Amino acid sequence: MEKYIEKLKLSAKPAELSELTVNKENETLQAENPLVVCCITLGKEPHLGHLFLLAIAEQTKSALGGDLPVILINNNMGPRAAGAVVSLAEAWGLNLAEAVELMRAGTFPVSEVVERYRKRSEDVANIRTVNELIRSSGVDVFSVVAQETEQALKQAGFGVEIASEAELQLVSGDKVHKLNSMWSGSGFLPFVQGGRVVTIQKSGELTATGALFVATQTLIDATMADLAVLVDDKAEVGDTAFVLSEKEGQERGVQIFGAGVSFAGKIASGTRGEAMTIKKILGEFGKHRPAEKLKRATVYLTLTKPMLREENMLSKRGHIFDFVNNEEVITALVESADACDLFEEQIAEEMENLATKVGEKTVVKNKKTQKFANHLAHKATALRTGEPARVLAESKRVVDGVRQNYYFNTLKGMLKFMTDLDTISKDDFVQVGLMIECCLTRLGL
Amino acid sequence: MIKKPMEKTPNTPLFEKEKLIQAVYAEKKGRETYGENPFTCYVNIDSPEPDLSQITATLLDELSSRPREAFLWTKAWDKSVVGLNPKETLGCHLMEGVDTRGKLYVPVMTTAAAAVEQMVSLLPEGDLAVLGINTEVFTVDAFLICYLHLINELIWDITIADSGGGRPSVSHYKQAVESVAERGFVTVFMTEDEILETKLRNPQTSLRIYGSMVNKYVPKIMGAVIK
Repeated sequence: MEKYIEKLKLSAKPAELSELTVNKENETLQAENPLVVCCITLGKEPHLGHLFLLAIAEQTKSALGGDLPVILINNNMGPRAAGAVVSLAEAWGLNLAEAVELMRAGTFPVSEVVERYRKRSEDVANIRTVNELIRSSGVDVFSVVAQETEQALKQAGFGVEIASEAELQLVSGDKVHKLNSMWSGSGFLPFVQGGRVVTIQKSGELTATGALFVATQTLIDATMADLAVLVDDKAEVGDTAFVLSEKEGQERGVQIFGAGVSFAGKIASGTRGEAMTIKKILGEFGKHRPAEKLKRATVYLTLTKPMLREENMLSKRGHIFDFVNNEEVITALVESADACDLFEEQIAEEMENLATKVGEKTVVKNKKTQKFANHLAHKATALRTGEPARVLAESKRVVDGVRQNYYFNTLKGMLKFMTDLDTISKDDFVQVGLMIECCLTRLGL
Repeated sequence: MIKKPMEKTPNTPLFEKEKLIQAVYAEKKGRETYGENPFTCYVNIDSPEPDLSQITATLLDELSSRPREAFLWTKAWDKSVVGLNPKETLGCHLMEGVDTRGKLYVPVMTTAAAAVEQMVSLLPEGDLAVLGINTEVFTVDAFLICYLHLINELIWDITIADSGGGRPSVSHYKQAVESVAERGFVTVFMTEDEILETKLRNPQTSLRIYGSMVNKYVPKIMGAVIK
């Protein structure tokens, strides 16, 4: 008689491929209309760590070019946002729907919203009810913090726009089920590609990655962006970039690492961190230099200040900017604003010096510089056309603790080139001028 | 036709039912009652309608090829995780709890009804026992957890029967696994009341209760092994 296990093996089906089939013919990076995205929970006021994150985002946006502003997705959904609403309802004796509506309307001051976020409730049933209210109406329960943040960022010189995740999800339509038709509707939705699994939905709810993917894809569809650059170290950011690219078969999503902040080696960002809020930094910085220079001061700091590896800290994900304390941060930002001005002045001076060297032809002092001079026109064209793949690859590099920037490095190279010249032809002088102008624009200072 | 939880109308008087559950809970049959299970069985699936024949065959293969580990696993209430790992073959993989390969499995957590009846209907039939699974189970992950626990219940029942009242050993266990692999079983769906009534009528029936502290779709009474 045939054994039962043999019958089982005979009746077993051959395995089917559940990966999404994508056309991988075109893998060239396109970034004519790039979209740079960050995601912050505005249940509390953004702090110094977020300031650096946004400066890196601005730096990346400027380097890639395009017309779209940096978009900050206000993470105002999920158990933490709902927990803040429940806490507020309990504190003020409101029913949950009233609390949601009053928070949407910005009735409570920022301090109260932050207080409720810090003391957020863990009542599962109420959190579920509030989640559903937020999901079905798409309201922003952190609207008051979002408004104040947008205003502070504008004053600081940032061009960041804030988008509500709840609203993006409400208008998103079905963005996830086509990622895996086999699991669609089961309440669990994995995105599987190349042996890697990213969980988009589990237990019937979008995961953090799923929510970020939906919000980003909705923004991409609305702006017709051809590349989404997500700035942050978080795992869900990397997973979202992976899904955006792999579902299309070409690089449509890229992760750029952010940077943490520490005081004397101790993490200063996060809910219990001591780092100042952006609003406070703006106030303190504004006592020394014009407030609208804060963005360029921060961007310049991210271009020049060496970072520490987070090896001996809580997270080993990336790099951190270390300061003694909040006072030193302000000093560093003021110094950075001055250094940035000086850097631009130096470039202007070098251009004036170069104008005195204009002659019949370009004559250089050493062979290496000659090679650069020979290809000047070609390099100038490439620089002005934009090289997104090189720009992004460079921004992922850290040399001696300093984040690299393609245009900043080019600019430093150009300064060296200019001092190495004996004479420069009129045509080459024009090319150098255009290259420097392009670099300064793409630095976004 | 599988009944959904809300449709069920229990007939067994509540008091009697609770007494029965308490009695079943007390019936450890020589299994460990403390500590973490040193092993975990990862059930690798790639769709919400996995191939039950393959899962059953790989489970029995795994248990018979590694009887020492499998014995300890079953003795400690056979912990299983239903997951997805495209880098591993489909079906069951018994691993040590500390094995980092376990982290490669993404736990499957569904909420929708799966075609569990259809899956069961494709299984070949055996004659050693009947596995009666609670009709309340409707998600695929909850179903697989119940199904694997009931197969283990059957194996453990045979193990202790073969040990003749003595201390069950690895060799008894290995023989039990071989016996299940040779003769097999039939899987059916039963209501909770049918399961409890079967146990009341026939004390030799083994019930399996409290299947999962994690998956809320696994019912308190998972099913029965009827011999």
